Amino acid sequence: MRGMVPVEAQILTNLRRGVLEYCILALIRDGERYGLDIARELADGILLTGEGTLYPLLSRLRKSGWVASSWQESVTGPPRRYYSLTPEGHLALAAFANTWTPFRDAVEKAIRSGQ
Amino acid sequence: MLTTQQSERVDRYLARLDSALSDLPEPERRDVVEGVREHIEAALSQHRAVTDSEVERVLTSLGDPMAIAAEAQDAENDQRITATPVRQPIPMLRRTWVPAVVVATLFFGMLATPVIASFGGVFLVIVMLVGGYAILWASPLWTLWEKIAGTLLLPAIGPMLTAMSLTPRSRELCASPPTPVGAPVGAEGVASAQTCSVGTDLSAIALAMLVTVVVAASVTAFVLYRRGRARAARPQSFSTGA
Repeated sequence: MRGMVPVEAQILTNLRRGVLEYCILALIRDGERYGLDIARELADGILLTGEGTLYPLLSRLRKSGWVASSWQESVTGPPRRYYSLTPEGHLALAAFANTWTPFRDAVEKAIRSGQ
Repeated sequence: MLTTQQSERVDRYLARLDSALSDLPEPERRDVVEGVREHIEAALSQHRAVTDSEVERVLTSLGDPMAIAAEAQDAENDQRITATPVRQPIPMLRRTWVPAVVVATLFFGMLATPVIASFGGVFLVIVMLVGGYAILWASPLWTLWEKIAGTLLLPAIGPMLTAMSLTPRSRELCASPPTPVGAPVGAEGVASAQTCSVGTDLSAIALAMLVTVVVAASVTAFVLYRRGRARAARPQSFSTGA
């Protein structure tokens, strides 16, 4: 993200660490998608700094059994990989969603306290 | 279709990526590079004629290969998130009811041996003993020495009482026992087995032995139960490796 103070960049890096993978899971919760589509949706400069950083994360998510990939023939070019959630991935995402909302609210509350 | 120059541009980018990822294990590295390659191909295949600026745009959106490599390294180091199983079922033999079952079968169950045995319930005694021992030894809740103590001491009272009620001396007493007031005649046999073992004619040594065993067994039962419960309550932080 341009124009960010180095300290902010580091904070953002730390914040992403626990959360970004679940955002990826959320994007494929309702159906399988291409890597390109996921990358473009997440590359807002906040969640993903560059589209390329998606791929190490996808690799790890596949390694841990939360995401599966399959090859699909594509009309417009070479076969492409689709990414989808496994049952374990769905469980992990649900668990995160349950944890995230109270966490987010608590952080909000703490930050707004004293304002 | 890409021009030769454009293809070379893409290949150079992917080569830089591959080199930046050199610290990663081969399978992971290949995975990432292939994923990115596919991303580029998909992005560029959307237009019939690809301009140079289009190629640049796609590569810029992907970002610096070093940044991708940094993310990959973070992912490798930080197994914390995806390594945590979503469900953590507690192994059966670690559950909080295990100490209760062990103490119930081995201590209290064996305590009742004289009564059960006299009713012909030997099979039940054996089942409780075997079951109790099996759980005691298979469970990770106790150390080796605690298990040995449990094996020897927990069920000691019952057999002790049974043995004492079977000694010749007690039999003499049992031949003509004082019938408890109001007890039906048929219950004589059972009542005598119980009164014999605490008859006033027991030798002092036998009595001392009995008391020692009772105390030792009770203390063992209490300690094993308390420790077992405490450890079962702790989330996976105690392991005897047994």
